[in-house]
Amino acid sequence: MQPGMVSVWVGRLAIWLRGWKGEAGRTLAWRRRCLMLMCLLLTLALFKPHSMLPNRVYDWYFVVDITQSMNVPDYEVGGKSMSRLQVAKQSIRKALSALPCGSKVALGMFTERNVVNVVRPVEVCRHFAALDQTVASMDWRMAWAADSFIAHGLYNALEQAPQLGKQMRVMFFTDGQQAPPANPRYMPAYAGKSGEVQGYLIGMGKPVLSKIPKLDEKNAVAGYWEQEEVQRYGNFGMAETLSVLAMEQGQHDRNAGHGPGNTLLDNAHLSALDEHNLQQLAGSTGLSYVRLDTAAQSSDWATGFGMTAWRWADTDLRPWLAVPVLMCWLVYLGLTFAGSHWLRYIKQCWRKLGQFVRA
Amino acid sequence: MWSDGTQQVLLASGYGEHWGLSHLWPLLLLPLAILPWILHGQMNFPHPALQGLPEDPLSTWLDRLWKMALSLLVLSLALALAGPYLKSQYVEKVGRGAHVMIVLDRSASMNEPFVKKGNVQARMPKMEVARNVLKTLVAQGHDDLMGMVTFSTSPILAAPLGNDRAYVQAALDATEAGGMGFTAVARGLGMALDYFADQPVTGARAMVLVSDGGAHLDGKTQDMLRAMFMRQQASLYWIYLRSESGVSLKQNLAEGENIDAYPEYALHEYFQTLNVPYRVYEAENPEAVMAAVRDISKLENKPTRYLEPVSRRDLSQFAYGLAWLAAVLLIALYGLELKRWQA
Repeated sequence: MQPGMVSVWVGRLAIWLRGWKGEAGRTLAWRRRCLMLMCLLLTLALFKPHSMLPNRVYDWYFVVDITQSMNVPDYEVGGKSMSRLQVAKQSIRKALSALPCGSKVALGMFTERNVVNVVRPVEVCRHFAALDQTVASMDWRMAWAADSFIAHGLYNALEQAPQLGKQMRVMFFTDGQQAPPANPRYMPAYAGKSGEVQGYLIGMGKPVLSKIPKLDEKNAVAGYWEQEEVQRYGNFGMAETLSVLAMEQGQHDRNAGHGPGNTLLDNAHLSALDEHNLQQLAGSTGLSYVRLDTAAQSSDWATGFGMTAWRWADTDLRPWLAVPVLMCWLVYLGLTFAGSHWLRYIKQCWRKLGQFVRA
Repeated sequence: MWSDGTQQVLLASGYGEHWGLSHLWPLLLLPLAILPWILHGQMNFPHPALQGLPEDPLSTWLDRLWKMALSLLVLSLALALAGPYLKSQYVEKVGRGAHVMIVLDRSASMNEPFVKKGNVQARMPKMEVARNVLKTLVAQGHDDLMGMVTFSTSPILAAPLGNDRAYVQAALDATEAGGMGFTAVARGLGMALDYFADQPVTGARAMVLVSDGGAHLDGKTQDMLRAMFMRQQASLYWIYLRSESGVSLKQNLAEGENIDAYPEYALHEYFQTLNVPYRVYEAENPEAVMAAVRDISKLENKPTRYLEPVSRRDLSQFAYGLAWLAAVLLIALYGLELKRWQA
């Protein structure tokens, strides 16, 4: 290209950018600039810009009770009955896909007295496939013991949470079934600070007693737990006061059982959502107790207002480009329809408002 | 009534189930799209008799096109900001390399060190040694698909078979909490083998058993496990973490010794009858295990296709694309505008 040609083009560009002279020319120039800016920003947006920015994310430690009472099929989804465990798994999987990228998720399972941490916190979008499959594979057969000391398990999970992450919240899915039934006087108290770990204690199942199924190798119901098969005696416990006088009168308080008695065991082979127990546990640990009716609810809880953790995370920058484009669009529209009655009216109102404020 | 109706429509369209919106507020911008159609008063040129000019159908259509482009721009931007996405999508991936299932013993005995005497280095718990070894295994051979099953009394699937190495690392880190319970080798192996059951044999399959001791297997379990190994054509690598009091598998038992007293030896003998490639690595010290890692990385393979679930597929890119098209159209139309009156 000749140098002369270049200067001609530069000159044209300058004229084009400066716009035409006069009122109408200025408007035209601004309209053109708006259009150019819009096009430029949108072209940038097509390249999916992203960068690390402080972002609203959620850190969750999902713990599932995998004791056998969770096999009770007292949920109904689409006309089919589903077990508590299935619904719990489904709701975790829904929550996984509802969490924004950058959130971290750890998984755990509870039986007996403790919670086994299956996987340390991992980023939810990059590891979605593995997380999803791990949750799907959770099974009551993974239980390493058959007891279900829910209070111990919950405290254990709350102990683990701060080690997993500073802002780790706990979501604990359980029906609250205590097996074998225990003397409430000997249940441990929560040693941590109430409310230090936030999260949800989620009640699974219905508050109506149902039989606990025994499942065979193919997960078909092979029978139900009978009362003869559960612990027989509910009289474990010591007297609260030992009185010499009473002993002299022939009572044997020291050696007799002082437990709540066998009434405790009447329904030990049945299972219902024990809301009373769970509410108490939630109260002492500072978690929120909620009852799960449909699997989708947990995703709302997981992305709930109080559960946010702010962290540097990979953020999509396209909305930051889209908002200026919208502004440009409005300016362009305003300039184009400068003669509109509506816009003139708005302008007048604006001026009056200004005068009013000044006066 | 209205909310009921909208809910019905949303449910029927699969909102929440198959697709969703990241934000709802940008939908408030949608009404802006009618502005170009209701506003009047564009710039015009003073002309004594505009009425006198003939109507030009082309110009009328160009005007409509221009308004449509304006509406389209703001509509697609609002949609893009709302962030629509598809749920439960799958992407196809191609995997090369072996399929390796790690079967890690998490029983209580794994908390003990190799030897009770010596410095801190020597008194490392077996679990920690196993973890370090497995971490090097996981870090290498990035083409292999890997998964992990941990077992004590019962097996737990800690990481599904896939190419997500960081996840296997996270699952390995989680075993730091310490072991518990008994050693149910058969159940652990069974679960890991089950994992291959529904998949075509496209690559070498390897089971890496990391355990410190044996467990007695009864005849029925032995037969079942043997059948499973045969069916899945998986080779077995046993990284045997021998403790101080443990028996070495390299030498034969002394005459008159009862084999039942040495469960690890019985297990070793049984594994040799599996009719699949089997190797044992005795790890008296942490270095010895690297040999196993090297052997596994030598396995041969065919490429394999598989589907992997992704959390959501972002659709806003299409909306941005539409907005871009509209913007380009607006620029083109700007070029057609009459800027000066030419008589």
